[in-house]
Amino acid sequence: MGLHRFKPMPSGRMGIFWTLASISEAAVVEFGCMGHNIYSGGNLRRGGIYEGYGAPLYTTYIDETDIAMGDTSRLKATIAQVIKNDKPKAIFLQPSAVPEVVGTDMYAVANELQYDFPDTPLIPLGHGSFAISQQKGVEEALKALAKALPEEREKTEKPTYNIIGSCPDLFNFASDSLEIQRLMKGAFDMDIVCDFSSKCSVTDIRNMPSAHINLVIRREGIPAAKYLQKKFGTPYIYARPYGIKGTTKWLCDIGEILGTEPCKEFIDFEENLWKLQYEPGRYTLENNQWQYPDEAVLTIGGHYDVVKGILTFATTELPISKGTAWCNCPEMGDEEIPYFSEKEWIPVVQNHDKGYLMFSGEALKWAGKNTQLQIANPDIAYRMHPYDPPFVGYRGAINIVNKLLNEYVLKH
Amino acid sequence: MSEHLKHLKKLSTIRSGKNIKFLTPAVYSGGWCPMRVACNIVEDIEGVSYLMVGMPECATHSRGMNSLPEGPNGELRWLYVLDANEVIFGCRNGVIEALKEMDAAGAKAILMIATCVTDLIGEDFEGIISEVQPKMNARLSYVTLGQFKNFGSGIGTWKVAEALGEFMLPREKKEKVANLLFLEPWRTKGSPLELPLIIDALERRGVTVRKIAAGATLEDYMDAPDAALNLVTTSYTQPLAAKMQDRFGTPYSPLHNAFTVEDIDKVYKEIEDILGISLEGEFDGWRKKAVELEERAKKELGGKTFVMITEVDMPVALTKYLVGFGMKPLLINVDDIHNEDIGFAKEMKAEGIDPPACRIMYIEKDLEIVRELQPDIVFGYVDKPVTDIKLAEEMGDFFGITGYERTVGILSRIFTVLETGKMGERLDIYGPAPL
Repeated sequence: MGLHRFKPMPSGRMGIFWTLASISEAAVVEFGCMGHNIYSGGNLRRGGIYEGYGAPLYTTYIDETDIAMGDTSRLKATIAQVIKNDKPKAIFLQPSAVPEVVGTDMYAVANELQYDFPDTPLIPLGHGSFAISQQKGVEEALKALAKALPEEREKTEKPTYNIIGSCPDLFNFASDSLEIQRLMKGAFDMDIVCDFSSKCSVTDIRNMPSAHINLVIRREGIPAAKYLQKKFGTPYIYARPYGIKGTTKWLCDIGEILGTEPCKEFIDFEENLWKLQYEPGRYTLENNQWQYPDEAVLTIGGHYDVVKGILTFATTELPISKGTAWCNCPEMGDEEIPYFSEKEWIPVVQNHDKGYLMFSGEALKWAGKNTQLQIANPDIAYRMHPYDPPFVGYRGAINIVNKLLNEYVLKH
Repeated sequence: MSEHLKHLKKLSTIRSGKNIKFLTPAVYSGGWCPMRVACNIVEDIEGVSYLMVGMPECATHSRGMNSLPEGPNGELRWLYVLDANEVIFGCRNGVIEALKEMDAAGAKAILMIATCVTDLIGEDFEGIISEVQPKMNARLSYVTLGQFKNFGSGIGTWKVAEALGEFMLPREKKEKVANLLFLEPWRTKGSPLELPLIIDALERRGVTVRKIAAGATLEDYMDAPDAALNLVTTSYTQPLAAKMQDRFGTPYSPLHNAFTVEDIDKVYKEIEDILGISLEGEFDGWRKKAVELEERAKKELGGKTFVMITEVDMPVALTKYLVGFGMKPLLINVDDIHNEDIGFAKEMKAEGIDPPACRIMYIEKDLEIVRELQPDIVFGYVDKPVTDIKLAEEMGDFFGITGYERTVGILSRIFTVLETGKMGERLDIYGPAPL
């Protein structure tokens, strides 16, 4: 990975940890050196995963003798204490970097320890090696949980759904999830079974097979959804709904899978509301494009699916053209949205002077740009509540337009 | 002995941090990483850059929410992240290239802060410095802080202090210059530096006191060897003082360990002799009060039992002081053991006092064990209000404070807590002595 000026792409272990930390009725036990849990825990609390919201985060510590002797007895003692303290319905086990280096086999250790703790499932995660990204870690965690916890359930009488991939590592995850739930209620009168994993419990994950459809909102959730489809026959749809037309299409696609149509009144109401809300700003954006086409350009970086979604909305539904676009994960980049390392995005951000720039809070702040256009982490602010406007859905569309208009006002 | 303490070692048998056991095994939610402490300290020194060498976790957590890659005076706070190959084969070449890049970007002095994996694979930072220092303008130093052998913030602080000492240069001694050696692991940037009264007293007598503390500059570090005396106000900087004594012949006054009036008298006398000044009359009010409280302590504290939990500065030295009044320690939380502590523990053992030592890592649960011990008083921090134990909290008030005023503060707090069960008002050392 080399030299970095900014926070680097987080490791797979971090992606796994952030995916697990928000699950209640469970506990996370990290085997290894301390630090990651306490700092990540702090970051999660600033991000709205407050004390008592998700899983309690424990660590074992490890010293030189443990490393030299390959001793994992701290893990057993810690698990016993955690069960005594919290009586969790599952314990997620994760190695930190040092056990990874010395090759501690968490799967074998977990299998062995399971005999000692027969009433509490021990779920090992986080091998991930040193070559995988945060996003791959999220994918691994979602899939491992989807394999380990869901149980055979009758489908609910009234149709229900799961969200797969709403995880705390995504900027604005909580508000986006709430908007998706609002859309599903308004369009289909459907309730959620499991918001996997940013706001769920072990029980919710166990109940996932009772849902009628899985809504995968980031590509890292696809392997988990495929597994659930194969094992429990639950169909899935993979898309993030951005924009007005994009959101309506997303709802229609879901309706097609469910064999029903989304509520026409709901969609009409939302689309009409958009027209009314957008009208005062429409002329400004259109005029900007007509007068200064080089300023009606969106430069954007972040998670691939977020970048793709916002960019598609901006370039197909708004008078805005595509500028430089990049994603923050090497495994996801393609010709349309390539992966940019720090060395590649620094000049783009630093030299950006015309148009709109959406990226991480850290980079926008450093470059003295408008931090209201943050769409990615690393974050620079507290996000203690989930009531900020979303980026997805109908409400997200007007929120994005509002932010772009304010950027125009700032510059003119 | 309580069933819950049986796995603990006695204080006198502890020779290194490795032998200090957790009171209960589950750590919630983790201890502080010495690497983060190191970054925090360096970010408060004008002109010193750092290169953190570690894993993505370290790089992410090395920074606070608002930290940026450059400091206000162009200091660089850059991060070197090992890839999968370097985890096996080492990161020497990559780190050397990174140092060259930082040198070219204008760094004046760079502290390399190495973390767990580099410590595990044994990366040779001294060798790296030997190889590249002659070709660079920036001065280099390093500290290895693998957490598996450097537990917590204290050890991170004293090792960083030592590593920063490498930036010091031989200087001609000046009679009326002293250094205050004081580093805090978790200082909030910009907060006022609380100093013991001796500093003001010295300055009023024409002594220049250079603060090797938060807000110091690279130049302060470089010039520090010109001082006639080092004033040590925390155990975290005692190793640096010892090193400066060896390298530059600078004597030091261990103000941090002087709790008794007798010891304070002695250390002040040394300061007077070395700096050629008189402190006569300067602390009469505080000294009188301290004598009075020590007399009272001898009469009233004998046989009182106590436990030290987290966030007590220098718990072993303080325990030794309290044992002097006949108090009985039941359990001591010790994050790390300093060389000085080993001596104190030995002295206490000779008097038949040898409490079990532990690390408290989940205060909510560990407090249940402390309660079972039924101590007369508990020193330290609890994150939620407690009413069923007599708690002398906010012991951090005395961090970096020394002299008669600290003795007055500690003893007053003990008496107030024993009498009322509450901490009472916090002591204002900058006001008049509470006669």
